[in-house]
Amino acid sequence: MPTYKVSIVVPGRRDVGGIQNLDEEPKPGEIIILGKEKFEIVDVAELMPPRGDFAYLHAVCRPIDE
Amino acid sequence: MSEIKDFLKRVEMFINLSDTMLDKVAALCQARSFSASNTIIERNSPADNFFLIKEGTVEIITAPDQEETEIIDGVVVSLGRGQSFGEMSLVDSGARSATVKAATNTELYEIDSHRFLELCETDTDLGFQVMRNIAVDLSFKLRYRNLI
Repeated sequence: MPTYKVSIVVPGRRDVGGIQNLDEEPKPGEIIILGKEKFEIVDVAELMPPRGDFAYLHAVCRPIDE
Repeated sequence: MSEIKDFLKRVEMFINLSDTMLDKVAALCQARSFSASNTIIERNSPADNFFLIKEGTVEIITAPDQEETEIIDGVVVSLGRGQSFGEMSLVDSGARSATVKAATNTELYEIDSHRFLELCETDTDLGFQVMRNIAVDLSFKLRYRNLI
């Protein structure tokens, strides 16, 4: 089963995001929870070529206004 | 032991290790628990161990001396399940470069750096794979740092 190592960035927000290992590949349009807030993934790109069962991705997110 | 081994298979530092190698690493793992906001590593303290995150999230902080409300400015990165920290000591033997705090209730595996380096020197195939994996992880973190 692949592991997706994802760097998660919210532009303008240094207090959320980080690096997470995910079991499912993140896709644009999906909602993720960082801390206590919900964010929408707006872009996903490969950060480095895969090694073994690991894929290296970069996800850009935006806050969801509720 | 098999639970630890299954976990290690999902940790990047141990990509391409055989089952026998993973058994050797699993034998060095000590389970640790930290409550949210507890300090796991103090900046500038001696580095004699490293950690694997089983559950929870930690924050790597480079400016922990500020008031608590300002600490967020010093957070370099948050790390979650499957990530490692403190492993730079395996490469440079230097003191801790950052403070690490538990952002949530956190379950970790702690590995003694001296015993792990002895294992790397005894089993050089294992040592080469681990050091290469650490290099890739540091590269990933640099790329991440360049994007925030």
